[in-house]
Parts: sequence; C-alpha cells; structure tokens
Amino acid sequence: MSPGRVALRRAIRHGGFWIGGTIIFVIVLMAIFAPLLTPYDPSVQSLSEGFVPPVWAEAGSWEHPLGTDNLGRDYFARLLYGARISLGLGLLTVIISGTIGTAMGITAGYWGGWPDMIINFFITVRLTLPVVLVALVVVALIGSSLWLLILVIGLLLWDRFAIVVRSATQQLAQREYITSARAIGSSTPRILFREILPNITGPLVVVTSIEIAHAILLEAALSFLGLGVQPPDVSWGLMVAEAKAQLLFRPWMIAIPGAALVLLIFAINLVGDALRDVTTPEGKA
Amino acid sequence: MSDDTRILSVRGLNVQIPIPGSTLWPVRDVNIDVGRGETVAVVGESGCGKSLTALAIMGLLPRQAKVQSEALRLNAESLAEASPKRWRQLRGDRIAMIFQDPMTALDPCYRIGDQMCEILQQHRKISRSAAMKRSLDLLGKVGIPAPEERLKQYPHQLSGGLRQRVMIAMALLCEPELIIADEPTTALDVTIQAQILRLLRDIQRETNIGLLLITHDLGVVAGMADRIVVMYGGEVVEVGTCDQVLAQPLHPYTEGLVRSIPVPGETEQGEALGYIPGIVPRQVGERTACGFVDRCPYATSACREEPIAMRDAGDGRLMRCILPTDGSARDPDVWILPDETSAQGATNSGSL
Repeated sequence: MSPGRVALRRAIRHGGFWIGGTIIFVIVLMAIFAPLLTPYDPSVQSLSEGFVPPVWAEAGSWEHPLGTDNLGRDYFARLLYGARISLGLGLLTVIISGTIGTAMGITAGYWGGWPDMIINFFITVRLTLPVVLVALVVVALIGSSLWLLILVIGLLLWDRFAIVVRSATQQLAQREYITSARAIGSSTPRILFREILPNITGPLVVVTSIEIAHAILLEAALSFLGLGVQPPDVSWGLMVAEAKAQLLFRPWMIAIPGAALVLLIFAINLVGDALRDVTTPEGKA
Repeated sequence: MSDDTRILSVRGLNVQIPIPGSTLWPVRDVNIDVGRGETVAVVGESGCGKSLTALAIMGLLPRQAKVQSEALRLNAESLAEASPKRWRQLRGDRIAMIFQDPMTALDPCYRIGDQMCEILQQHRKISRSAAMKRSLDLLGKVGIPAPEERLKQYPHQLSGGLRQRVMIAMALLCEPELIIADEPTTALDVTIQAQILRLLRDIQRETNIGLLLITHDLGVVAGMADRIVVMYGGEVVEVGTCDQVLAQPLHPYTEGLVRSIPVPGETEQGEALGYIPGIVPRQVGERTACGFVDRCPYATSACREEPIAMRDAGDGRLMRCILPTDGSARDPDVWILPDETSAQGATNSGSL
C-alpha cells in the first residue's frame, strides 16, 4: 500500500481529523460561497438599521441573523467575508514563511558547519524580535495594505519552520539511506528534494498548521490595533476591534468574531495534530 | 598481483578529523589492493578505522575529515584528483557499497522498484520499463521470492534479510567492478547471515567483481576471503592470504583475535577462550611506539622506542611487529587470563 493510502486510511479512523476537518471545511465553504449565503454586502452601510441585535435576542429578527453593527452593516455578511481574508492571509503567509524557513532549515541541517552557524545566528536574531512590534513599525512606516501585511507576517514567521526542519534534517542526514543515496552517485539537490524533503513532511505539516493559526491570530491582533486590515476590507480581527466600544452594551459583537476565531484556530490545530499522526511513514522509527 | 588485474589500489591513506582541542587520526598510512575477482577482508575491532577506510575510498567522509593519500586508484584512474561530478558518476556505477544496517539503508518513502530504477536511470540512458525489467531480474538473482511483488513494496514491508538482499541487488545493478560491503551481516541474525554471505560469495565468483569486505567477524572471513587485511588502531598490522593469517597469525593482535574464536571439535566445554584485554585507544597525534603495545602480552621495551614499520614476513605476507616470525617467541596460552572472574567481565574481541 502506498503511503498516501495508508495515510488516508488512518485519517478516516482519526477522530480529531474528522472534527477539525469538518469545522475547517464548513468555514472554507462559507467563505467561498459567501455571496450565496447572504444577500448583504459586508461594506454597505444602512445607518437607520444600526445595532440590530442577533436573532436570539428579543428584538432580533431573521432579516439580520447575527444583527448589524453601528453602521448598519449585516454582521453575518461581515463574518463570512472576513473569513475569506483570514483564511487567505493565513495560507499566503505560510507559503512565504514556509519556503524561507524550510530552505534555511534544510541548508543548516544538511551541511552543518559554518552554514549552520550563520543560519542559527539569523534564527536567534529573529527570535529576539517581538513580532507584533516589528510588524507594527513596518506597517506604520510604509502604510497599510493587505499585501504588505501578508508579506510582513510571512517574512517574520519563518523561525519555527527553520528550527523544526533543521533538527529533522540533522537526524535524517545521519541515516544510512542518505549516505546510501550518495553512494549511488546522487547529486546534492537530488538528495535534498528526493530523500530529505519527503521524509520531513510529517513535522513540516504540523508546523504549517500551527503557523497558519499563528498568522491568522497575528493578523487579528494587528487589525485590532488598527494597523492590519483596513476598511472597507473586513477581517475577524477588525470586527473585534470595531466592536470593542460596545463590549459592555452589546457583548455579542465581540463574542461572535471572537468565537469564530477560536473555532478556526482550534480546528486547524486539531487537523495539524491529526496529520502528524497520520503521515508518519511506517517503519520510519 | 600484477598491476593490470588490480581494481582498487590504495596507498598511504590517511584520515584526520579535527575535534575541539586536538585532531583524531583514525586511519594511518593504509595500503589496500583488491584484484579482479578477489575478496579482500578488512578485519579488526570496532574503532580500528575499518569503516572510515571504506568511506574514504568511496569519497563519502564528511567535509570535516581530512583525507590524504599517496595514491587512490580505481583501475588506472586516480580518484584523488577526481572532481565531485566524476565521483558521482563512479559511485553506484563502478564502485557500489553495501551498508551495515539494511533497516535504515533504504528510504522509507519510496517503493523498492523506484529506488532501484533511480540508480539505473542515474547512470545509464535507459527507459523506465527496461530499468524495471533489470531490477526484476536482479531481485530474482539475489534469491528474493515473488520479485514482481517486492518491486511494488515499500521497505517497511520487507524483513531485514530481504532488505539486505535488495541492497545487494542494488549494488549489482550497474555491474560495478568493486563492491565495498561494510559489515553486511552484522545487523542480521545468524541463519540469515550465512545465507547473505553465501549469496555474496556466489555472486562475486559469478561476476568476477572485486569485493572489499569489512567485518569484525573472523567466522565470516574464513569462508569468504582470499586475502585478509588486519587493522588495528587505524593501521594495517598484518596482510596475508586467508589460510595463512587464520592458521598462523603473525602479529600478536591477529593472534589474539584468532585465539578468541572457539573452534568446533577442538575447544572443549568450559575451556577459557582467549581475549585481548583493554580497548582500542583513541588515536591522537604521531606514533611514538607500536600502536598495540599497551595491550600486547609480548611487548618489550624495544616496542616502545619507535613506531613499528611494516615488514615483509615472507610468503607474500606483511606485518607490523618486531617479533620473530618463526613462532619461537610465542606462547598461545598468553591470551588466557589466569583470573577467571576478571575474564568474565571482558568481552571476546573476535566474535563467532
């Protein structure tokens, strides 16, 4: 049986994979089909309809299932469209940071010696930087746009990739099948991409899931501080930020996007955990 | 041996490894020849530099290790000056290696067939179906039942003995001239060991390749090798044909190794086996005396005065010892410790 089918079979039996996967699947579907799920535009204001409470409150109605915000924008629509930005940003940043971190980690782990020392130095330097503060400074200096935000977060969050990939590679480089690959005349790039990379997918997948969650939270934090996603775009962090004035009077306005964030992060972590269990190659011990 | 039948020729091979504070010198001035169709066994305890010698010949030592040699030739080609690209062409094609632990020598991510085809396609212009065909043939040749199925399987689905057979098949793919087998049976159980060794010997005779067999197991050597190279402390201490060395060891270290093997029919029950006291010391700095002097029961003050050179012992044998070769200074029981209790704590240096 191929590793792919083994993994699939294990995944089907894995409870965490089902729970997390279902939540993510539903959120992704809702983000993709947002226009079909709500007739409202998330940025269209309707001042006469401000602060409509959600449907479960006394004054609520099914017209706005999650109510409206202070400018009369439909909260459900904002939640759906906000998911697009949160998910997209999470994925794109991880592509950037994962590429950087993996390249650095493999280089350091495979060669050791001075390349390792230099890369370790960069990892250490990176770890001394407070991520939120650096992102704030960059955004404050250059101005705020969604692409800049993705780039900044992507360029900051490669540290965990580098550290995990480095140590995984170091362990692998001692294995006889790596020496054996050299003994049959394989070139170095071939060894890195064909022997090492496929064998570190397990830890890589786990870090990817953690880092997607991390990036989404960071975006929320930056948006909350007013330097992340800018109106008229909408993200969950921005929704929390805009609702903070209403914390005491209309707590659901914070609770709804907050709960959505918690749910998404929880689900991503569940799936990441499950993927680690599922993808560990047999006989790799 | 004449020059034209010689496949591998190593002269004055040195390996040095810098460690914090000093430099290890695990391989010193090693000379090894392997002829076409010849099996040369390199024997010695763990830490004698056998594996490092093999890796140095393959050009596979880590960058930190400094490898120097007066000559390192494969056929007429000098490997010492070969470019990394040339090395890659030679490895797997002209020289192949079989590793000690078949459990970790195959990549768990790929099917056996894919791993075998990869070798062929790297060295030959050959279609994938032709490569599969040849892989299939070789799996059959090394005695793997149902080779078609095995081609499609992953390493974890194979037992240790099967994996080592796959490793041997992989080594044979490109019809190399030299195979280096680094303790190919150490990780296998005894019955499988015998099968694998017989397979290696049969294939070696059939294809007339040179085999450099690295082992600490004199039992393995006896049935396999044409010549034996005994290494101690990174140096070659004795060279001779298999029969010469096992029947009449010249160097005290070889004698100690041979004395530590029980002989069926001769060794009686309860009889103490010989053993070599102590362990192989760390190899640092220039030699100022015989490398074996601290463990040698025959050592005299003359042994400590200067490093011992290799000398001709007649019959084409070489040894690195100043003892007379006629056996006049020898007492075979010198290896058996009078005190049984301390002998029990020590391990036999040559195993069955």
